[in-house]
Amino acid sequence: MCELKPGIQTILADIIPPLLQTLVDRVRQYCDIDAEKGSFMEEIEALKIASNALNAYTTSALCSLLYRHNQLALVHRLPDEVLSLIFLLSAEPAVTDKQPPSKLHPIRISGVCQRWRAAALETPRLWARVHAVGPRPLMDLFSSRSGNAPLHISASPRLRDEDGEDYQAFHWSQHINRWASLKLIEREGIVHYNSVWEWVGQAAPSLEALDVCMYGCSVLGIVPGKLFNGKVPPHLRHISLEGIHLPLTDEIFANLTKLRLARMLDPPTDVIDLLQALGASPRLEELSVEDIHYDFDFINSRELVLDVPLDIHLNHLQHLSLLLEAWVIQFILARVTIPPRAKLEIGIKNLSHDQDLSHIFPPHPSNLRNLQSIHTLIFSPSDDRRGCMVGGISVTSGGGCTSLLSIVISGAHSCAPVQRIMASLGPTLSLMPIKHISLEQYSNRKWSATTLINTFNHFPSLEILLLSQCHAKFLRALTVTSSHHPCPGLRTLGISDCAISDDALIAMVLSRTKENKEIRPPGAYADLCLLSPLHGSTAVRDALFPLLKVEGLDGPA
Amino acid sequence: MVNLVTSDNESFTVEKAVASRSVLIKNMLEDVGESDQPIPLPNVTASVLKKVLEYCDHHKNEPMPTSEDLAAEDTRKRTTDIGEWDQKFIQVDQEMLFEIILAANYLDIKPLLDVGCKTVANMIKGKTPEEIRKLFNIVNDFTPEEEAQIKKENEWAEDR
Repeated sequence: MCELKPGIQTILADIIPPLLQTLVDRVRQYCDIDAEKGSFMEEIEALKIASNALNAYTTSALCSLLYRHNQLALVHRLPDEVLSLIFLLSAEPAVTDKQPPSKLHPIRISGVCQRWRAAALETPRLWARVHAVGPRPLMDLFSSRSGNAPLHISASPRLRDEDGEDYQAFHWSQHINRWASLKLIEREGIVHYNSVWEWVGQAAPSLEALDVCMYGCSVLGIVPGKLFNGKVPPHLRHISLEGIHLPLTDEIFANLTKLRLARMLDPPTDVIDLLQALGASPRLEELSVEDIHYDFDFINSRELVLDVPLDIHLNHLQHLSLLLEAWVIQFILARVTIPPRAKLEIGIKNLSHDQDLSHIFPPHPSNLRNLQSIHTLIFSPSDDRRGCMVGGISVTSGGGCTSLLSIVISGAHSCAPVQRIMASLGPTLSLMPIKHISLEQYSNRKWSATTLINTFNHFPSLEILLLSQCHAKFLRALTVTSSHHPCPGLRTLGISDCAISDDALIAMVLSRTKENKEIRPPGAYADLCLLSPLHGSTAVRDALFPLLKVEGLDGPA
Repeated sequence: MVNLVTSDNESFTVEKAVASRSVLIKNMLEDVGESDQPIPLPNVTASVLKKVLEYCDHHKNEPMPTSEDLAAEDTRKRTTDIGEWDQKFIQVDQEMLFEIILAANYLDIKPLLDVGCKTVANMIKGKTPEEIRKLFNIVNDFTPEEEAQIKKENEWAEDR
């Protein structure tokens, strides 16, 4: 409070006592208190009533003024429906957000000012994203304020009150007809199947997405019954299970568009069961299988199992992500047919030195129809330099580029897998109409140049080759002789950070031009364009400029 | 070409494809048919329309959101990510930001309304009520009763 100036104090001293006296007199009159005969306590009561009335009136006048001040704020030019939309958006995460929005968000929004509170309370969807944690009055608040909006609930099945009951499950089961999505998450400790069933054991007719993540904790007991009490929600489209098995049925799979199975360690999963599940999921658009532990006996008899005939058409698939052992990946990829625009992501962890990567793809992967439109392959080490990445890119109908293949091998030493992956994948992937290959850090002189050139030769349509930080021997291997014609269709060669001598570079490049009289057929290598910003020596410039297009270099000295 | 006249009586001549990013203008053009008559926009000033037209021009070749897209947006989870160009475009002072949102709402340009609202949403994400008040020059105008109820709600929310 600001300090009152002496003049104001005089004015207040003049006005307030008679004002208060008048007020007290009116209260006395109203309450029938005789000033002369009334008790001392009655006098005090009358003064209190007068004082409270004065305070209430002042507070109300102040609030009204503050409200009018707020009305003039720029943000309050926005109509209620726009303010509501902003509130809803502010409760959504951005892809780049590391943390989801706070569970307190709706409470905070409704505590800004009267206008925001009114708008927030008129926005049921703001209160429909429920974190089922907190005391019962808070849950009552969210259930009543969310009105009839579809509920998106996240809960921990381990939470119990003093009586050992999951009051959250009980509370929200009263609104089960409104459940649109349910996420059960627990990262540590022990969870019993019975606790999980308090959430997923009842019919939830509007449920669209189920996400159960128990990775990091132990799930004990036995499955107590059927999911959703046997009544499959007709709109259930997404299921994600991590660290827990649930009895999914063909009826559940039938409508799924998104399925993620991850880290199911105990009991082990039967890969044939998995494939049968995929066969029962004709509408799948996204499928992700990560770190699944397979039955040991099954692994021993895998040669036998590889003969199991299965031909699963996933006609709607847009994204297939497999983070598994190489042979399991091959087992799955040999049995599914995926459409031309689907993206295939493969991850292999902890690759051993002797592991054969030829198992990633089946021998003739014509069922992986997306591979047939890939025109660019990129081989590079991973960001942490402990693995490697292979990317496959295709041109979209609008002329842009889209990634259709990604293979990430992690936990390996240096980028040695690049060498192995190229050697093993070259023949397998020769069905790709590759025009462009980019190779980064192919730098070990012990690796075979013949293997590399053989891999390139599996792609006769190859026109562009970009080599970065590669050993000079691999560049020299591109030299054309009368008996050696590597990459005959090459039109552009890009070189950066490759420790090749000027003489060797000039010799290799000249061998690919008309100057090389040994070339057959004549002129086959005439249009080579060299992109070489770091090989701009005078000798290179003088030797090559007259003969071919060289970008990234100045003209002859 | 289409002639648009703002509330401060300034005239803008723009391609039909640009003006038609506004569903309001698109419907007007369809109703009126081929005409040289200027279209009055009494709720939009020249400075704001200039910005709005910059957005429309940049996005003129993109497909218009269909009614199915808009219906689906209501139900599916959205994110508050904004494209790179749109982010730079919307880096304006608060007054212009709210004026753009109002204009997008009035002219019925859903993608621009989304960009504006997402920008404001990102401004308030993770902030306390006091920080939000400071950001938008708002004061706490709650009555003591409302204040007590809010205090109680906050206590419940923090009790876990």
